[in-house]
Amino acid sequence: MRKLSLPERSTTFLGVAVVVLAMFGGCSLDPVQNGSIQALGDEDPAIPQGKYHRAGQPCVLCHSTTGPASDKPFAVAGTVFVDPFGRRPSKQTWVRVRDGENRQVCKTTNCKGNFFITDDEFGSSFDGKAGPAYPLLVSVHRSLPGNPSGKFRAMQSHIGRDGSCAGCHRPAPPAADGKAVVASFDTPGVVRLYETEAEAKAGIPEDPNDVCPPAAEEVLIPCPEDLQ
Amino acid sequence: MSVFASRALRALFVVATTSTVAVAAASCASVPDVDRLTIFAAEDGGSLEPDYKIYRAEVDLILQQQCGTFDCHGQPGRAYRVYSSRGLRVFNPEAGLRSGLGETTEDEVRYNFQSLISVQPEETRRVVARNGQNPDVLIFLSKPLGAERHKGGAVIGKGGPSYECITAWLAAPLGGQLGPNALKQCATARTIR
Ligand code: HEC
Ligand code: HEC
Repeated sequence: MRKLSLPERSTTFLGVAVVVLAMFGGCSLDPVQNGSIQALGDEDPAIPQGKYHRAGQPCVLCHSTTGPASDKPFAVAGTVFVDPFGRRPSKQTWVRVRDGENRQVCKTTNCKGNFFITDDEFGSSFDGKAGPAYPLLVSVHRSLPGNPSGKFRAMQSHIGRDGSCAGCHRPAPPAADGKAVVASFDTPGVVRLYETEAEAKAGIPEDPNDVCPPAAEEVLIPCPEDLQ
Repeated sequence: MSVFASRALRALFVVATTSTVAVAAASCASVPDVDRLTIFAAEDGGSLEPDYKIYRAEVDLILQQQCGTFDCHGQPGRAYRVYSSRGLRVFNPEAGLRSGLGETTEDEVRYNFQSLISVQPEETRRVVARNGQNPDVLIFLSKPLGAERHKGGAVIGKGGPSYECITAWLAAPLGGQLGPNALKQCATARTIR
C-alpha cells in the first residue's frame, strides 16, 4: 500500500471527523432521551415535518441541542386543546410564559394548537445565557366571538425545568370502569380550555370547515400586549 | 554458636517483632470518631427524627411547591420524591387521587416526610442531635442552595424564607414549636410557588 502523504492524511482525518460528527451531532447519547423519543413513534405521513406536526407531544425532547431537531431548538413549546381528551386543538390561543426574572413572552397557537418559543425570544438572563430563567409560570387565553375577555386559565404550580408542556400534560389513560378521565395520578391531563366535553362543545362549537394544515398561510392573531 | 551469629539472630528477631507489631497496628481500625457514629436515638432514648407536626404544618407545602413539580422531585424515579395535589399523587386507584385535583392527603405528607428524612437518615439525626447546628451538611439543603451539583440549579437562597423555615424546623426539639420569626419566614416561603 502506498504511504499517505501528509495533506492526504489530514483530509482522511477530516473525513473521519465529519462522519463521526454526522453520526453523533444532534443525536443524544442519553438513553432516557433516546428511549422517550422512540416511544413517540413515527411522523404522521399526512402532516409535513414542521409547525403543525406532532401535536400533543413533548416538542422540546426533540427540539433541544441533544435531540434530532437540534438545529431548531425551542425553549418552551407545546399544544393547547379545547377539550379535556386532546381531540380538538385550540387555535388562536395566547400562551403566556413568565420566567423567574419576570420576563413575559406571549405566543399564539396555530390550527393544530401548537406554539413554540425560542431562547432568543426571552433574551439573555442575568448570567448572560439566552433563554428563560426557571421556574416559569404559564397561562392560556383565547378570545371568543361575543366574549372578548374569552376563556382564560392559569397554571397554579410552576414549571421547574421542562420546556415541553407535554412533559407533564399527557392524556390520562381510561379509568378502570372504561370511562375516560381528565387527569391521572401522574399527569394533570392535556393542556385544555374546558374540563368537560359538554363545556367544550358549548364554549367553542365544532366547525367542519376547519381544515388544518390550511390551504393558505395561516394568519395568527397577535397577543394584545404585543400590539402596542 | 559464635557471639556474632547469635547477635545477628537477635537483631533479626527484633526486626521481625517490630515489623509484626507495626503491621498489626496499621491494620487495626483507628480510634472511632464519635461524630461519625450511627445515631438512632437521643441519650435519653428519645427519637432524633425532626418534628413531624411542625413539618406538616409549616414545611411540607414549601417543598411541594418548590421541589415537587413533575419535572423535578414529583417523579417516582427520584431518591427524594415529593407527592402533592399539584403534582404526583400516591398511586392508589381506590383513593382516586388525581393530579391537580383535591387537597394533598395526610398520607402524602407523611410519605414526603419519610422521603426527606431518608435521604441521609444518619446525617439528619446527627443534625437534630446537635439542635440543628450546621444544617448545610445535609444534601437536601446544599443541593438547592447550589453548593453542590444539583440538576435543578440553585433554587433557594441562604437566609431566604425557605432556608430559614427549614433550618428552624431542624433546630426545633421534638414536640416543640417554632418561634414567631421562624413562623413568619415559613408563611412567606409558602407563598412562593
Ligand atoms: C420526535 C421528535 C420531534 C418532536 C416530538 C417534535 N418535533 Fe418538530 N421537528 C422535528 C424534526 C426532526 C424537525 C426537522 C428539523 C429540521 O428541519 O432540521 C422538526 C421540525 C419542526 C419545525 C420546523 C422548523 C423549521 O424551521 O424548519 C417546527 C416549527 C416544529 N418542528 C415544531 C414542533 C412542535 C411545536 C412540536 C410539539 C408539538 C414538535 N415540533 C415536536 C422533530 C420533532
Ligand atoms: C412540570 C409539569 C408541568 C409542565 C411542564 C406544564 N404543566 Fe401545566 N399543569 C401542571 C399541573 C400539575 C397542573 C394542575 C395543577 C396546577 O394548576 O398547578 C397544570 C395545570 C395547567 C393548566 C390548568 C390550570 C387550571 O385552570 O386549573 C393550564 C392551562 C396549564 N397547566 C398550561 C400549561 C402550559 C401551556 C404548559 C407549557 C408551556 C404547561 N402547562 C406545562 C404541570 C405542568
